[in-house]
Parts: sequence; structure tokens; C-alpha cells
Amino acid sequence: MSNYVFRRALRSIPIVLLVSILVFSMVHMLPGDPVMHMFAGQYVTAENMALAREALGLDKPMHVRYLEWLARLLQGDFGDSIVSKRPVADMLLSVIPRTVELALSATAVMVAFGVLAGIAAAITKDSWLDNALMVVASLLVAMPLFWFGLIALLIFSVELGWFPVAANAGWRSLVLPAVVLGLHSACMVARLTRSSMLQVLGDDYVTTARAKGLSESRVITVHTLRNAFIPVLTLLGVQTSWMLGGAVITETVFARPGLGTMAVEAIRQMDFPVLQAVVLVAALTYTTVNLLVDLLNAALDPRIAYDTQAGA
Amino acid sequence: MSADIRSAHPSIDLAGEDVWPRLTEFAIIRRNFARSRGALLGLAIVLALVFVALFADLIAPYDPIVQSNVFLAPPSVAHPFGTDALGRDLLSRVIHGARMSLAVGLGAVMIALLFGLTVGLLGGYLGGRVDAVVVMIIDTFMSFPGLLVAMVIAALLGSSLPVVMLAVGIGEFTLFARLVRSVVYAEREKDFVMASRSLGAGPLLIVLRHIIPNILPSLIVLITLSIGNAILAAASLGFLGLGAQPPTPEWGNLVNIGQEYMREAPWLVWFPGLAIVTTVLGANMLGDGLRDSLDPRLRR
Repeated sequence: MSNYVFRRALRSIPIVLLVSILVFSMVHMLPGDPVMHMFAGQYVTAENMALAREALGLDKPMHVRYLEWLARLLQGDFGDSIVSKRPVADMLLSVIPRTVELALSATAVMVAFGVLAGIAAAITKDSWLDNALMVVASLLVAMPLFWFGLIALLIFSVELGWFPVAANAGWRSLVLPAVVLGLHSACMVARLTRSSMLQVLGDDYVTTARAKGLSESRVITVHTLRNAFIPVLTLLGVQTSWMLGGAVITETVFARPGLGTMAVEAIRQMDFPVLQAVVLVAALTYTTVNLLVDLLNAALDPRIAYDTQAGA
Repeated sequence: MSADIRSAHPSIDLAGEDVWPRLTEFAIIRRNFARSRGALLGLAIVLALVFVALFADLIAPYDPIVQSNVFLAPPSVAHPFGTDALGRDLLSRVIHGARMSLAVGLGAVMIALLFGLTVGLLGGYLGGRVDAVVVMIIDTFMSFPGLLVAMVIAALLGSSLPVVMLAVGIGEFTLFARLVRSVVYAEREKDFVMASRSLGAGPLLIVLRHIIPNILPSLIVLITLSIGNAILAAASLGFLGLGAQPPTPEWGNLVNIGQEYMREAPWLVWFPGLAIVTTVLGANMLGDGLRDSLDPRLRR
């Protein structure tokens, strides 16, 4: 098992490096030269342009600049925002708690509704409850998140006045965004929990458990859930990046400060240091969460640790 | 499955399996598909939308861009979906918006398919080091939220139809790459591929003759299901102001403009959103139906 932990952690390293290279080269995908964009529409001499290039380190070869950038990152220096001139690290620290708060509460809603609905649908297969739950799930999957959020805002905040429209009214302004993002993400979880449960319920060892005369509730809680939960746990890991993408939309709709709104602002103002930092944080979060999920899966199912040599 | 045929053909002798009319693979698929009400409904919705998109100029009651002095009018007989803040007919704008959504949906999926097929075939067929690199590329791209990637690409290259297609397509290509890689990996070790190789068939011939046909059903299902996702992603870009630029009507953008007037004119948010939901639901139902009728494991 410790061998597996080591091997799995090792696999993340090239991914993290590749992520950092892609994020670094993001700015250089811009057609033209960053200095030209800086001075767009101004009269500048070639000499001034050369000075600006030197100040930004653009005269050095690409790989040297990448390594310097990486070295600064490792010291927590994300550079300064082009627009506000503030250190990007400070900006990140001020918004990350808000996004974490949203993502965690949305995940709680997602797991609670998704797993419960999935189990309920699986054990009442083909009943009206199963059909109703799956219809609701299909409808939600087809709904754009921004529209779902706006409609919820329109009904529950504007019409009914149950929740504040403002984003800074304490926990009460967190409820609606968290429920919207959580329910929207719960559909995939519900579908997968249902099919995974159904598959496990058909396995021989479940038949054996039933044949032994165990009560149905014991068969489900003790014998089925643990194995049915493994694909669901993997999905939860993959959902991290979906959650972070969803946070961009949810934060925009509910005008909440956070990583998502920061990314949208940075894109509007072409503030690349900020944008790079957000993309990097998102990708690293995903990589870390999925590493943890894989390790947790291996703990739940020891077989995983034995046969992973064959590749993903 | 044979029980189904029996009930459908009661006049045929039930005793021997061999007397059953031999159905071709395609006939079985078509029959299963036609039996699924959801799949047929999905197909009907998708066809209707393609029709609306193609003949938008003829169907739309007004010009989607020309402004009038009927501002923020609620839905009425003259304007079934109401009008926007510039007095434009919302129904006509939603009808024209279908063009954008369907174009992006199809274009983005084709780009995702192209990238995914190339990367997945290389990794799955060649194996070894190439495959290790392919897996690393897929894992890396999966770690970026698709929406964020699409936003960055749209911001870097400027918002135009091809850029939105590319942005959404790159956000989705990992799904195709993973599917193709895993199926090719499994297929390439099968006996018929070995036999073909021992007869001297080259990699290109093996891939085209033996591997592509075997991954085709799964690919068709993934393509259909991805169209819905691509339409959602493109609408999200439009909502963030990174998709089609005004005055071109695009559903996500229509919702974005409409949200400013959400209190006094909620129809500006309702109708474009319902158009997206209907389209994506139709594409997903079609995809689910295709999956159920194409997957031999689900038939028996």
C-alpha cells in the first residue's frame, strides 16, 4: 500500500510540471509581443520598447524565463496584477476562502442529494420515484448553470424574498449559490450512484448475503454501499474541476467575490498574471484532490493498489 | 431479446431459434431505437431545431437586429416572447440564436473528435512510451476546468465563431481521447487484429479496417451526448460575454443581456434559457436512445 501511495504521488509530478509549462506559455500564445500590447496606441521609441523588454526579462531565452518564473512561484511570488499593481498572491488569499466556502457547501449539497437520490432510485428501480428522480436529473443536466442560478435568484430572492440578493449578507447569502451549484452537480452523482448500486446489487456476493437471510437494509448498508461507492468517489474527484468551473458561473450570477469572478475580471482586463494564478490554482487543486481520491479508493478497495501497473 | 421477437411475430413457430428471421445488425439497432419513445422525441427535437436554424430567415416574424420603439414589451400576440430593451423581437432573436448554438455544438464536437481520435489512437495503438505521454497529456488537460480553458482561449484569440468552436472543443477533447485510447488498447490485443497483423496488414489498415468500426458505436453515442455539453459550454461563454459578439443573437448572450432587466422583464431570461434547455434535452435524449440501441450489452 505504501508502495502504491508513493507510485501514485510520483505520477502527479510530471502533470504538475506540464500544467505549469502550459500556464506559463499561455501569455506567449498572444499574437505579437507583450510589450506591444502594453504600449498599444502610444508612441514609443524602439529604445523604450527594448528597455521595457529588459525590465520584464523578455530579452532572455524562454526556458530561462520559465525557470525564473517557476522559482518565484515556489517562493509564493505570483507577480503583480497589471491593473491594480497589487501582488497577485495577496489577491488570491483574499478570495480563496470565499470560493472554498462555496465549493465545500456545494459539494455537501451535491453528495447529500446525489447519493441519497441515487440510492433511493436504485432500490425502488422502475417505480414512480425512480422515474421521477431520473427525469429531474435529466432536466437539470440539460439546464445551463447560469440560467438555473438566475431563475433561482428570480424566484427565491426577487419574488419570494427568502434570501438576500446581495452577496455580502453572511451565511444567508451563501445558501442559494451553494444549493444551485450543488443540485446542478448532483445529477451526475445521482445517475452514477444509481447505476453503480444496481450493478453491485446484481453481484453474486449480494445474492449470497440475501440467501443467508440478512435483512434488505443490512444487505444495502453493509454489503452494497462500500463497493458501489468507489466509482462515485472517483466521480467526486473528477467533479472538482467541474465545481471550479461552476464556481466561475455561480459567483458571476450571484455577484460573489471569489476565484471565479477574479478570473472573469482578469479576462476582461487582460490581466494575465492574475489569470495565470487562477488557472494554476484550479489545476493544482484538481490534481491534489484526485490524488487524495485515488488513495482513498485504494484504501476502500485493496485490489486497486495491486493492479495499477497496466496504466490508467 | 429473442422474447421480444417472439411477441412481435406470434405466427412464427416458437420451437427453434433458427427459424427466426435473421435481422441485420442495422435492423436491430433501428428497431430498438424506434421502440424508445425518448429517443424518438429527442430526434424530433433535434430535427426541428436544425430546420429552425436553416430557415431562420423565413420563420422569424421580424428581423432579429432591427430595433423598434416597442421597448421591453411583455409577451403578446404580436411578440410571443416579448421585446428587449432596444425593441427587438425576442422570438426572432431566439430563432436566429439557434444557428449559433447548433453551429458551435457541431463544430466544437468535430474539433474535440479530431483531437481526441488522433491522441487516443496514437496512445492506444502504439502503447509504450507514446501511450505514457498521451496519458500525461490527457491527465494534464483534465486538470484544467473546461470552462476556464475555453475562457482563456476565447480571451487570447478574440471571440469569433471559429474561436468559440475551438475553445469549447479543446475543453472537451479529453473525453474522446480517453474513450478512443481505452477501446483501442483493448481491441488491439484481440485475435482478429493479431490475425490481420500476421497476414502483413500495416497499422493504418488495421486501424481503419478493424479498430475504427469497433469504436464507432461508442463514438457516435459520445458525439451525440457531447453536442449537448458543447451547446451548454458555448452558452456559458456567451453569458460571460466571451462568445458571439452583439448584435449577433446567441442564447447565452441573450440571457446575459436579459439579466439586467430581470425584475421588469423576466421573459428576457426565461425564453432564451428554455431554448437552451430544450435543445440540450433533445440532444441528450437522442444520445441516450442511441446508446441503449447501439450497446449490445444492454440488448440481451
